[in-house]
Amino acid sequence: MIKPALLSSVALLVVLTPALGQPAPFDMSPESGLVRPAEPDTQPDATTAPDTPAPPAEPEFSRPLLPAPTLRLAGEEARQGVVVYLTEQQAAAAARLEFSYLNALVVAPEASSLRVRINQTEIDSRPIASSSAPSLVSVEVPAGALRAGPNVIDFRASQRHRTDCTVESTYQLWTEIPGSEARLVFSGDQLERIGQLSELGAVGVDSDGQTTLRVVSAGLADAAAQSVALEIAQQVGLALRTPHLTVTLVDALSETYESGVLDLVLMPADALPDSVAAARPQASAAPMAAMVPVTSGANTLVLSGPDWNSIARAGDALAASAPADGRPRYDLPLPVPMMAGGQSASLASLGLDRVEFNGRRYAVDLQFELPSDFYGYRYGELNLRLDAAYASDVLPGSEIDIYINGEIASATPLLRTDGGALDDTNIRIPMTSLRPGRNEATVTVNLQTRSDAVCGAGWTGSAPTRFILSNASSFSLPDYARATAVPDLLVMTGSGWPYADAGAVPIALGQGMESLASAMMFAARIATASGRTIDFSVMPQADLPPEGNAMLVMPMDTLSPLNASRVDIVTAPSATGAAAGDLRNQFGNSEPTGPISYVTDWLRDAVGLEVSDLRLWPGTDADYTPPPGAVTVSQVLQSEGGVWTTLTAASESALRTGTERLIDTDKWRQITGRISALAPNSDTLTTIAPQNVAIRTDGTLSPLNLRLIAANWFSGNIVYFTLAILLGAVTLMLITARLLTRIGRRH
Amino acid sequence: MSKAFTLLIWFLVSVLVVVLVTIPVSLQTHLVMAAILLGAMMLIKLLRLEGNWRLLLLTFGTIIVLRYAYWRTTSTLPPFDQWADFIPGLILYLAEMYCIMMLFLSLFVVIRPMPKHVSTRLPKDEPVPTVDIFIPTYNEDYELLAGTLAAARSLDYPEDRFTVWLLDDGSTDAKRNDPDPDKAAEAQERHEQLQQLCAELGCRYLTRARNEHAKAGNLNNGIANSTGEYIAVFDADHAPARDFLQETVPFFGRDNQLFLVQTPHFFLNPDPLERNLRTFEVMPSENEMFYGVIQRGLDRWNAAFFCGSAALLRREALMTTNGFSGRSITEDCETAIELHSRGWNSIYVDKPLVAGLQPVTFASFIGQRTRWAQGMMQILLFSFPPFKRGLTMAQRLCYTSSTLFWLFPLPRMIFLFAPFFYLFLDLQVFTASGGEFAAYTLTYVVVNLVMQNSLFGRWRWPWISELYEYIQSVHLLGALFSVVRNPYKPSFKVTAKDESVESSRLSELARPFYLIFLLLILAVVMTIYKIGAQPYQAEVTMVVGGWNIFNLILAGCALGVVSERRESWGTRRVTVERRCEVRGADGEWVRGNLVNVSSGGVAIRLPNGAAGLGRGMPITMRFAPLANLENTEMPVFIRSVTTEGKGVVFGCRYMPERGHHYRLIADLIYANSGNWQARQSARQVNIGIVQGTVRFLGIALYQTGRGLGYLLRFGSGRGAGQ
Repeated sequence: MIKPALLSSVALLVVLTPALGQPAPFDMSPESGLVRPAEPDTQPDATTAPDTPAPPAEPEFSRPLLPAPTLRLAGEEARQGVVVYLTEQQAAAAARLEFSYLNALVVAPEASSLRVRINQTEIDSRPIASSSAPSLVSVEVPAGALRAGPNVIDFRASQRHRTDCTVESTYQLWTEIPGSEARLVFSGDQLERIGQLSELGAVGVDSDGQTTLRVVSAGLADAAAQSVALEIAQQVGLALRTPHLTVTLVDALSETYESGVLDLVLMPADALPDSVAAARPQASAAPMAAMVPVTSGANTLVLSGPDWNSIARAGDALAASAPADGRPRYDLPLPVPMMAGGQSASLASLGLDRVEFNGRRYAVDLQFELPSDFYGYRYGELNLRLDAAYASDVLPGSEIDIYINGEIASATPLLRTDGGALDDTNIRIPMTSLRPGRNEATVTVNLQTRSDAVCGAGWTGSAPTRFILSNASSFSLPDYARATAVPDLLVMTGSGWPYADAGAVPIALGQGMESLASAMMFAARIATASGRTIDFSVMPQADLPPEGNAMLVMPMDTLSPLNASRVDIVTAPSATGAAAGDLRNQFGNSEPTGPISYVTDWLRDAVGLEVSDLRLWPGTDADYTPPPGAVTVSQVLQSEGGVWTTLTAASESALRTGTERLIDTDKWRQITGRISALAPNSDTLTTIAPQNVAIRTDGTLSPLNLRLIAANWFSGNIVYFTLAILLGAVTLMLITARLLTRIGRRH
Repeated sequence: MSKAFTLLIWFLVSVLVVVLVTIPVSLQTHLVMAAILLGAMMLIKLLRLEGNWRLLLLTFGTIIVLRYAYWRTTSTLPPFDQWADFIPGLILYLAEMYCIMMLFLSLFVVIRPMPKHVSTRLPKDEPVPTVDIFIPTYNEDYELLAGTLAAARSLDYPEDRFTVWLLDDGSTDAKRNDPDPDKAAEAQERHEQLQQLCAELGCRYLTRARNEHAKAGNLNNGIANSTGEYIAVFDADHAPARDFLQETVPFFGRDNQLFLVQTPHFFLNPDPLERNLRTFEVMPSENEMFYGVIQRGLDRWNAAFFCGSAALLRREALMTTNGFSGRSITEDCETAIELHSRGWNSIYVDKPLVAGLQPVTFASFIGQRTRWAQGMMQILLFSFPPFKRGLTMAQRLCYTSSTLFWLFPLPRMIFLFAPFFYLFLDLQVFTASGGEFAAYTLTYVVVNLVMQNSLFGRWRWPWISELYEYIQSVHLLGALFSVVRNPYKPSFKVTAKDESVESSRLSELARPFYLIFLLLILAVVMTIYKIGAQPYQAEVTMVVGGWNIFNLILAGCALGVVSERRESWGTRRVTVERRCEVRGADGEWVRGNLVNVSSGGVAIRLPNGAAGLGRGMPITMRFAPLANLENTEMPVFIRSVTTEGKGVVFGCRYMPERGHHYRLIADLIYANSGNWQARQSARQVNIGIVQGTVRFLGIALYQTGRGLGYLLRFGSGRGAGQ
């Protein structure tokens, strides 16, 4: 492993670092240096603006920026980006970026900086020095930096501790940017207007990071109309590219423009209200999907046509004009490639730049997607091929840790004490925490160094570069099994499986409009997570076919007794029933205690063996009694073969408010297992894993895939593997014994 | 079910099991499965279940070994582009795969060894076939030859139906006319002495013009000058028991295609390992594994092969190949593979019918093994058993197993040095975590031990195979390479067996063993340093360091093997109970009995006092020989006197003067083959893995100390450097 060439490159690193590692002089980038007068530059691009001199008080229009309530930059090197969609006019207008930030007291201003980039152009860099009160920052955006369509605004913080040089101290470093104060402010008239369907992304978010779809409709009591509405909610969700879309069914259009709000007029032509009367003639003739200007200035999307069928076609036109493909979601500025079996992705392709680091703890989040039938989490390992180098200052005990979806997956010590290159070092990471849909991998590097042990004054910021990570490093996945275990809500919330792109899916809705709104939100959230839509067909709950896949969205008390028995939820809790259910749940979820727990704990800690993997017969999937007021999602594999997903709550209003909370990304990603429930005052979901699981494949079963499926299944059913081996061995022994009487010399 | 159909089903089931075994389940799954199978194997062993249970144990073991091989192949090789890791990693991998392949080959060979053949006698009314008995000699001394010839002449067979031939290659015409007058005179003297001996014993003496084709040529000269239907071959130091022909000749009558009846080689003296480690009396000898189970296993597949001596062959068969083959220096095995490939059959009779001597010193032991290894390599190169036309599939596998076995020095040396790659050079030649190592490698090692013990436990104690392989590998490795470089170069060197170690000393081949031991000690020091300096990889260091310590134990034990204990020739005594008479000082015959005999002398107990005899006196004794001999008086010489209560025991040395004296000695030593069998079976006890391991550790510890002590006493100046 000692290769002269590598050593010399490390030596070079050590020689160069004093120069590279000079603390960024804090007077380097006074904001004034980067601010340029915006007006002269924007004028040539602005085709709409006449050559009249600028009016003394040009109207301003501001758009909130963050798809979340706050943006938090934690650790020594942090990076958070957001995507903002702009219309042509917005992109061309003079703009400035405004935000405020507050940072931890221990962040050393002279060694820390906050930088903002728009589409890879740095527009601001400043020392982080706002620990006592939020500082307001206003930066003029250079002309040409913004463009129509998606723009990536990147906040990067480089933070160093004032006094401490330990890895632990880096956890105290943070800077926060509240969503309410972060916005783009444009100069110009009527810039809020969205004229074309393809610009729908510019609806954006409100100051809480949410988007609201106000649906004005008529005739939605009709099942066919409801089916269309469900489909269109998904199409609009995909067109908007925001993660969190709240749907409200209203009677009237907005009275004024609000950011992050889209009015949707969804009805046949003859019912169109007067405010969009202009659309009536066109809609009477053919399907119509258009942004229609209204007097209030609110962005109003009209989807109409002679009847509901043609409205559905109008929705398709919308989907065609603003497709999901190639348009990043507001909260996902980095690429999220789909990783097939046997595929590898360089860190560069996951959006990482080359890293030269002089701190203690470096962490970076990377994301990739796995297909809905990823089924390799019990046995396989993915590989991180690392191209990195570290300086001789680095001590053993330093570690590269990989987290997958928040769970520690691998810890690799840096082995050499004399500095070295990790050239083509392979880190094998168990796939245990991977799951279908979007996955988050966090690569962290904890560096213990000789000089940090001394930790002289000002050293935190002035240490030379000690770790280099090349973005040519790559993740690669082995060929993994392709199958889906049902029930698993996670597969549906992340990939839309088994409903998306699979023909008409029967769905039964509650009587009230709030059930419909909940279903629309739920469907739209699945669409924004998976990029795929589900073709729903609303029908009475009595008509749901148990042999087919179906969904139910309705309050518990409206579930028919038959269906209630099919969704594993105790719908009418009597006092005793609830108590019994709770008891059962407690029993089912409790860990074994007493002397057995020593054995089970040891098995888990030392060997990584779960006792549940050793069972011979699966337990029973007991009915679940949700906490009062909770919204509950369940997925049940019917004995007839259908996969039924149910979204329910105690009442119509609880269903709607619960769903609004459920579609928040943090909570949405917690949904898993066969039952997930969100109680009113909790941010954490209760999830229940299925005891009985069936394996579904997409029909084609190649021998190789079958083998990998068997590997995953056997790894969770160890006793069966052992039995299979024993059976094979005994059979082989018997046939061998028989063969031995046939061949060879006899006596 | 027909044979083909059974084979087809077996094949299908095997494929299914392999598919099942190569499913890439998680580590935990493997661990649980392996633990359960291992538990079942141990239970079968503890309960000493036989028959299909033994087969089941082997099947379980096979599955775990296969899973290890699969995991080792798919998950542990270093990346191809990191050549510094990859090349040693691949070499280690290939060494392990060789071992696994050999395990499966030997599993096939000994899957169900033949039980003992029922011994039969010749039918009374049929004519007794004629037999020529060939005793080839090159440089063995007079006494030894006299003993062997005498024993051969005493065979229980009609006098007129067998001829004993001394085939003397030590005084050929060429040798007697050697340009060196001293050598020529020596050869001439030998020529005359042996001619005289043969005349006295009633044997035929034969020599030839030139020493062409070594032993094979000598035997072929014998064939050309004789006419017997069958040919028995005894090495000059292999004296047959009286019933040799009775036990072997009848088999030929039952099978016209039979070309060989091979019997085991039984040794009266210990090999250097047994002598220096003092295990001869308690532990099964090294060759007992081969003759006790492997030849019996080969016999099932009609692949028992000729071992150069203690065998009876059909002249008619030998004529089809123009006698013994002489291309390789192991003419015996080569002859057998040729005849097997022509459709002839062989049989192995598991009853010791000859008693021989094996090399005494470590150097001559290595010399003998060098010849075997080189000869088997030549057969591998010349005949390539896996594709040898005419052999059955089973015979191909058997010969492949027999010849490939001799490649063992390669993996043994690789296993010895592999830990150094990590400890000294920091190379990652085996990429696995501590947990994986425990789950796969540890279970594999234990399963391997259990399987070996189940197959060979009665004939081989745990870890002794490794020790034998190690002590040979150090010097055999070069010999193997020289065969590959020039397959025609190795020449037949006769193994010296009648040496003695007059004083304790270090073997002249000892030096490399001490150097390796030193390296291993350094590696232990390095292990301790690494654990202290790099605690974050202590787990891996401890695994590799443990492996290195195993090597150290082996190497320490080997130091004892190369530290030659003093022992004079012929002191191995066999207890006997026979009556005898001694002529007292007064000329009267005094009754006594024989306590024990050895190749050098005999102990006589006189129950009623010394009869006026004492130390240093030449006396005459007589006893009733089993063979039909006229003169039963033999001169001996009293070397020691021990009083036992009223009686007295004389330690006497033979003082043979004429041929018939040798026949008397042979009658004492070799007459009763049942005696030898009893001696062997007393040692053939499976002491189990745990006890075997503990004993091995004890031996290793003691021998390491003794080896180092010898180094201090004899190492300076001459000793090791000689």
